[in-house]
Amino acid sequence: MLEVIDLHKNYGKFAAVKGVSFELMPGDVFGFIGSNGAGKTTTIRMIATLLEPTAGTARLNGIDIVKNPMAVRTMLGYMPDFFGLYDDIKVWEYLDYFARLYRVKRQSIPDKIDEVLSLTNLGIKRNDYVQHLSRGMQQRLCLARCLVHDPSLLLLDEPASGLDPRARAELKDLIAALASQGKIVIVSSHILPELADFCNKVGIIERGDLLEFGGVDEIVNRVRPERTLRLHLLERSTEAAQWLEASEHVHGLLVGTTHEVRFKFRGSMIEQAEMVTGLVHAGFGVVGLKDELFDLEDVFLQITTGAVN
Amino acid sequence: MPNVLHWFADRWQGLMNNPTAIRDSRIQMRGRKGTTVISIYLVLMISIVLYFYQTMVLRGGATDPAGLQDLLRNLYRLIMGALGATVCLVPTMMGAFSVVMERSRRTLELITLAPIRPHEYLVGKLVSSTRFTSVLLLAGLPALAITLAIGGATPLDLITTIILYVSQAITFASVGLYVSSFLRNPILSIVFSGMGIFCLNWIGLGVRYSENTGWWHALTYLSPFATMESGTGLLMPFGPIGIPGWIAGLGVNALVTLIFLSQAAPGIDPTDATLVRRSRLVQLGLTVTGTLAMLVMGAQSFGQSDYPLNSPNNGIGIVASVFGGIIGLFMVLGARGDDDHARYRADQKFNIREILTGQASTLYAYGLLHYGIVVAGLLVGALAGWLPTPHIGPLLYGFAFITMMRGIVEFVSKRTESVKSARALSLVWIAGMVLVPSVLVGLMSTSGDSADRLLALHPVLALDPRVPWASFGWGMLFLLVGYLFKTARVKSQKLPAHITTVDISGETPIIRTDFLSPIRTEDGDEQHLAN
Repeated sequence: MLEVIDLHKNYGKFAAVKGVSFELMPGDVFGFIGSNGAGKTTTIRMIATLLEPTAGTARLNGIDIVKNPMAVRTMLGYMPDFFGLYDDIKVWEYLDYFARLYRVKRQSIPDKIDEVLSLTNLGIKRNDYVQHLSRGMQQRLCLARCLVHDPSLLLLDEPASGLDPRARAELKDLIAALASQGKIVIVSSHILPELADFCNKVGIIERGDLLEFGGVDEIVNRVRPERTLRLHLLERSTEAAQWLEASEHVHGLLVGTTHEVRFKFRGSMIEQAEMVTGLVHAGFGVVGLKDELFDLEDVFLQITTGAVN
Repeated sequence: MPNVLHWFADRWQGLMNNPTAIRDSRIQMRGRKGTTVISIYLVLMISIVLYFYQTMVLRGGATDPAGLQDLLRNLYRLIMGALGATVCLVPTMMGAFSVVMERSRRTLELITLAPIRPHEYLVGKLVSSTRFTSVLLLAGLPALAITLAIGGATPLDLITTIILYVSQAITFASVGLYVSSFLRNPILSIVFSGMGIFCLNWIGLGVRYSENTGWWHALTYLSPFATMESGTGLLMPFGPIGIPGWIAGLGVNALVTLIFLSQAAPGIDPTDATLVRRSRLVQLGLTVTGTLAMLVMGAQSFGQSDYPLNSPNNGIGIVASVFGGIIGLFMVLGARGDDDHARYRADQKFNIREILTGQASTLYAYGLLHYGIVVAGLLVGALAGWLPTPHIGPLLYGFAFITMMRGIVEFVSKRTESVKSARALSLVWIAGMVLVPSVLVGLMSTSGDSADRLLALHPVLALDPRVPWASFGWGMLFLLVGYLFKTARVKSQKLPAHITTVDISGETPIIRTDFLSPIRTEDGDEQHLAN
């Protein structure tokens, strides 16, 4: 379990992070969203014990990052927004080095290396030099390095930047697999629709302030309680519009064509299902109901101003 | 005894399994690169030896054993000189490159994130920086064997010199590592390390050719060239006993290596308050040693007839400049800009138990404790009559000087954002504090002032025993200056309040900075207005 408690970071009089707090449980994949300079990397680096907070702290499995950074380091894997690789070394040697640095038992190092190479799909490249790997493979090797000591928290700073679509899809699957092993994963990224795919929690940060924190749907509903729905009918769209107008959840009714009614709906998914059932029982030929797209990117653009530190 | 053996066995095991040493060994010794270099080196060395032997010994007509012995001794010195140059260059350069390259590759950050102590990492780097030179030295032994013929050199000379060379290689690598752990530019790292090695050689050769003798002659073995000139069999007087030169040399090199490694550790992980505290403790130790050494030198020279002229050349001048220079280097390189300065926790609580058990992060409290011990020691020593009164001033002077430097460095760090500016400004301040009075004294000396008065006015020459209370006065002044700098608060803001915004609505992002000018509202409150 990771508790981030009122984390602050000041550089002189400049406040880079202003009181960030959140809590994550094992298996959570947390998407950290923000513009460049918003404070994402500073927050991640504080959790990684690379920066000392000006105030506040974080606890990983009950251990304080400020009071006992050495103990925390054994439990976290940090993948920065750069590779940090040695060119003139083989893939297994790179992992062996970090396994030794993390004091993994010497007898179990070969097995551990095989395990993380297989997880990151790099088994075939075991004896290749790092400089001969493609960018995507180097990225996976970095992830393998983070995993070699079996951490309970993974901090991934912009892991998908510069990757091609296939490599991104593979990375997404890998992160999902790691979360299913009970690890806490924190991912910062600019590619918001992707984050929505595999993050169960997101946080939006701007100028050091955590503006939103919670589940993706929860935040979408909080930011935009009204959704625009399009109802497709076989016929009788005007009558259907009248029926809908009587519903307490429907606002801003707009009849589009003879087969479509567009309206603003304020309610939960259950209430939406009840409305559709009511329409069917009233004898309307419902062909479909479509939610107009409003995703994480829309949320981000709506609640942030674009200002940076 | 078995405990000691276990301790050594554990340390040896740790050294053999050091992750950084293992990794670097894989890279350095892989393929044909290492073998080729060693082969070329051996071919060159054997060629030189054979050529020399052929032309000078066999054809040179040295038929008598004494002449032949001289020739072989010259050959021995020639090869040892070449090996000495190798010892000066290779480990220093490898050390100077090692951490700086990790930093530029940004792998250092990943390493410091692992749960290892910076010392462990530095020891690994030390092994990898000296491994190659050690192999070269050992590989050269068979070629040198020819000089053993007919007593050109003794086997003991040869072996002890090689052992000393290995220890010097380790020392030089530690200097390179120290510089490298604080800098980001490889070229600068090489230049500064080279200067450091030059200084160590200068100390060794200076001591070797100085007229005074004593325990401090062990410093000869900081230089491979001085080692070659001096030989390794001299007995160094340490109180009532005499220690063979090569053993004293090993001790001196081990000490210097430890000093540089302890100072390098905060450069690897500046957030670790324990490392910073330890490095300051070493600086304190150096100050004590330097001050005591100055006193001993002064005392030795005091009775000599040509004392005022003799003293600076043989004792005080060398020791003061060496220790002052080393401490000044540590201080200046340790200066950090505001960004890094903010990393240290401003924990001012004084907990004696934590301090004594090494758990305290309270540098301030730690310093206070040690200063307290020193002052109490001085008082007890003076009251009991163990410490001659003229020696109190110079001792206080040493501690006060380090306090002043620390105060200046901290003050500059608070006022400056970048590390480079902090270091440059610290250097200027510290140099200024010594140079300005020197210039003034220089000007006064031309106006015919009395010599003693001038000595008292000079910030360094005030250590002269002829003006015993001058050093006390300077010490008090340094303490005051250090205290004022240390406690000075930063009041002014460097930049006026401003807001920077980036407009990304268009195709090209527009960065805009609005400076805020304070205005006073009707009810007297001050507000900021963008202009």
